[in-house]
Amino acid sequence: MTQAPENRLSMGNIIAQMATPLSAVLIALFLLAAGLAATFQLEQLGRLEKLRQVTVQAQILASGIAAPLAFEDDVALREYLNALKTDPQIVAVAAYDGHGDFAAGFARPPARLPPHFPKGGESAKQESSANSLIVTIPVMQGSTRLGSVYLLSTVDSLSRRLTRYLGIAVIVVAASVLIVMLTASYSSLRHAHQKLQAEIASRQQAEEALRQSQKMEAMGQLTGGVAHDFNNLLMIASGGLDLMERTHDQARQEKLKAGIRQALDRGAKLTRQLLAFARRTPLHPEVIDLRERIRGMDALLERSLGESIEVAMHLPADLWPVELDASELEVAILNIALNARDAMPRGGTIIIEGTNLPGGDDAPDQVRIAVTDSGVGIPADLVNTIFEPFYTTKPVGQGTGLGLSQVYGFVRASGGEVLVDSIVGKGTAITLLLPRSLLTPSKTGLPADPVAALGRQRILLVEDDDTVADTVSGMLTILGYEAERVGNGDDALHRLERGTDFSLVLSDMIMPGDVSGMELALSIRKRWPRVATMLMTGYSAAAASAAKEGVPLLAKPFTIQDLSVRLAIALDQTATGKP
Amino acid sequence: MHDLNPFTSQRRRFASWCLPLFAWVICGAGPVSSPTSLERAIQANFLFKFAPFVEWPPDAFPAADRKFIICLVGEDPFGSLLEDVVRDQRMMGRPVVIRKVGGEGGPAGCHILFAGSSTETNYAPFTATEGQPVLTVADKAAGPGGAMIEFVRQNGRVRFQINDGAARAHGLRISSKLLGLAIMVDRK
Repeated sequence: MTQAPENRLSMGNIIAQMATPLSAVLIALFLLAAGLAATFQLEQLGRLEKLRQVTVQAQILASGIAAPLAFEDDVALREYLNALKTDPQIVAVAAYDGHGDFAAGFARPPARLPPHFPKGGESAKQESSANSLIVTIPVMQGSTRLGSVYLLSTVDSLSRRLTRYLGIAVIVVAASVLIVMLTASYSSLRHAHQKLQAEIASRQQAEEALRQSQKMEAMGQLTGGVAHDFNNLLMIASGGLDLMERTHDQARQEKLKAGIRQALDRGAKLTRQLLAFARRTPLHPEVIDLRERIRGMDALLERSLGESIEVAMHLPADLWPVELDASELEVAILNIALNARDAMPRGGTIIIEGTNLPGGDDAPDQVRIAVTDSGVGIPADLVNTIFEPFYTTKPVGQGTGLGLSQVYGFVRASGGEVLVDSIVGKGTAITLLLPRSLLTPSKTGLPADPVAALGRQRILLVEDDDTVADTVSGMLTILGYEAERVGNGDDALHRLERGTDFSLVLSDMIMPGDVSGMELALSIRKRWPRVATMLMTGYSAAAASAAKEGVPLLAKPFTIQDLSVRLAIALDQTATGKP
Repeated sequence: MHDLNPFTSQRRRFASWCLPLFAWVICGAGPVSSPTSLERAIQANFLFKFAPFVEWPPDAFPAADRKFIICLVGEDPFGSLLEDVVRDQRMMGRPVVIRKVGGEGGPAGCHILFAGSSTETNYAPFTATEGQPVLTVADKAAGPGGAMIEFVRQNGRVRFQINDGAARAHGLRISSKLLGLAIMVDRK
């Protein structure tokens, strides 16, 4: 496919290389030479043609005058000869008898007739000089020679011939001049084109450099913002732990624990958000009731937005269900609401509206969620940029520029659309159009308590990080499982070869050693099909591959409740023989 | 433009000018001894030149005798004139010979038979060639009648008349070029 353009390019290059003024002059010279050659050839052909014509005339004459010449009928002879006077190019004609003596003829001055027939002219003969053709033909009757005919014809004069070739000459010269001119202009054009291309290339380089520096700047902003947020969270967590060690008040300890838990949740959310912008979080779509979900956010919104902002929700009860990642949806609504809050520095009301949009013949049914504020609005020229990652109007450290970008990424990934309507000074409405799901929403409200282990079940934990391994081991023990830990995939395989008294292998995905978590899981599935496997990872690219292979996956960070539910499901599936 | 004088040739001047004036004018040019012999010379020349304009049937040229024969019967008016004309000439690829035909030899093998005048009684030279492809020629003024081609004088010039019918009857085809030049053509 790429071959043809390259070839064309190289052909173009060759032609371009050829189009120099020198080659143009050469071509023009060649053209002139060809014109001259053609003229010369034409001239020769013309002469030949003329010679043939004169010869034919002489032959006709010779045949006609045979009897008059033989029997000395001068009157008839002259009649024959004079008939040729009508041709102005015939300058002289004469008939000679069998002895070579002159019989009759005429000549136009300055031409002269030879008084005797030239010796050696007994056979047909043609002579041609620059301007004349002489043809001598014997007069034969049967095989008897009765005399000779002499015919002298002019060819066209030089000036007349030149006039004839003037047209060709003009065309050839004009073509030559044209070629030279065209090539000259092409050459200068090519020069300009090369300059332009060089300039384009240098500009592209500069642009690339600028983009690179912009990227670096954005990275700086992002890392600065994230580090700032994380430092705050870490401050809460470490400070909370310090305080917990110094107090024995149960109520105070509970409060500190809640604070630490909240900070950690926020940290997890932040990383999840970052990964979402990088489009690396696999979405976990589920069929949800939008009304219930968004209403469930009221406390969160209230806390996040502050006291000066009121939230009004108009969500009809018959709002169609949608199928998407519920937590991402919450993040998206929150991000929009936070932006709306920032647009209303003096406070105001944020309206969240839900409507069913029945589709037409080819348009699918959609659910419309609009978040409207009465803030400062977005200038028209910036409307297109607000979804770009790292675009922010907030001071460094206050915004990452990732909020609305997450909204866009999430909605597009869920098969929906985002629309922005904004009037500067009046407010902004951000509308999510989400595709309707025909499924019924699953019951929300997961069991609040962790699901304890059913009976005595051993779990092999494969984890290279000691701290993580301790935490997960602790969780498993609390849940009632017997846990045994190995440090990598190779060890896990060796351990399993010694005995498969494990119900499940819970493995990290990315570990040192030759066997990754994924390989381990596939290997176990093949060799010990009765042993269930589950993978844990905080890296979403790996998570995607696990999802592709159908291996249950637990995304880090996870709570003890998450762990208990997923373990229960995985063990149940293996026990019932399902994949 | 001008015509060259067509009468610069001595021979032609002799033929065209001198003939009507031979009795009164002495023409300076040409080896002429008597007007009669001038006329004879032209006739001799014509006699030979008739041949290319006449087509003989193929059996007139036997492979054994590769000659073109001009026969003379009666008085020979030409003397050496005819010999001069045909010397070194070839006709239809054959050398031309002149044969005088006596009363007893007959005109066998002749292609052209010229009959001169004769004092003989019962002089009928052409009866011998009756039915044979022989071109018979005679001077109308001084020879026997009945020849296919007869020399006549017209405006002081030697011309001829042709009996094309007789020629055809003998299997001879005379070219229309020659017929066109004759002052009279009898086509019957």
